[in-house]
Amino acid sequence: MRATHAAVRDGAADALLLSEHAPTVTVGKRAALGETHVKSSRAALARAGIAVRRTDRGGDATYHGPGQLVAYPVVSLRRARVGARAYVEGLEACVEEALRGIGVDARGGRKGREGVWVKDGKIAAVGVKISAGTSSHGVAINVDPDLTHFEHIVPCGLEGYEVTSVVKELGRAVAMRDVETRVVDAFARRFGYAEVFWSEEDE
Amino acid sequence: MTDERASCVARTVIEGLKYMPSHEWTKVEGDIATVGITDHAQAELGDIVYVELPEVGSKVEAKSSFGVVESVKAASDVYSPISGEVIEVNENLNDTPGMVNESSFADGWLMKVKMSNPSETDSMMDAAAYEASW
Repeated sequence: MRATHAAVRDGAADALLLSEHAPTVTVGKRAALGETHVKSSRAALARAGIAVRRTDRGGDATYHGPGQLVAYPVVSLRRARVGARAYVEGLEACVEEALRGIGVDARGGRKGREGVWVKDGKIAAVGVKISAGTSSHGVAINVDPDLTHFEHIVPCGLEGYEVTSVVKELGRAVAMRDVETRVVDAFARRFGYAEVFWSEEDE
Repeated sequence: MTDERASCVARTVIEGLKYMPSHEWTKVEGDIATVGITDHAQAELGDIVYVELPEVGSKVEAKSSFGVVESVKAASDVYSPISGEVIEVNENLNDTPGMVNESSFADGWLMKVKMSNPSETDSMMDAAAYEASW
């Protein structure tokens, strides 16, 4: 992500990085102060095979793991003349549109409840960093992750809400590639990209 | 402004300050520059929940990041308009980061810098140029 960020900052075409992570709890800048929203000890997390990492994105604790689509747009917001708020709201709208396309009634953009939700279940987390007018980090969409792994954290520091996934909502299997394609299409439409080139790379 | 309501949503720009395209302002008094983010920047970020500031005594460089302002929506680097030594940071923001939203040009200031090269402010925008830039 760092190399892509530097390239976009220097004038390269914007990128949308898609990946799935190994089981990891990441904490944003705020949470790093106390890690209060990580409920389990590091030892308990290690036993469950979950790593812990600090990141420089906004937001609180988030879980990443297999079955979750991580989409990190690296966009020159300065070049696109898009402000932070419009960008994050646009990103939430893309996820909402992609999920609705496969039949999940997802909603984003609710005050005080960041991310994208299906009723009281959080289906996608949003955490964005803006540096030198260029975005990094982005969204994590629960397609079919191990939902028990979320029990180790209070997602995004919001108490009393549940976590859900596309597969749980639909009650059937869903191809990761289908969700990826829908997210990319929604993103290209909303942010006005005329052409999209796909490339496969190992990290 | 012909429409009364339009003036209610228009964002403030203060005359006499100098502005960066990355939405920081600075006020120069002698060789001390006070730095903050603009009303436009705070409005774009939304409710600010955390502000990370440099250590007093540390050096900052013009156009380099000196801290992070984080809202419920996004974390954004902030850039120093000038080079010099940080002589004071706004400690009140530790407890009340929302002050940046409420009073971005006054009580929500971020840091004060003893400038090593005051001519750096010459290339910054005045209020009219800044307002025209977005």
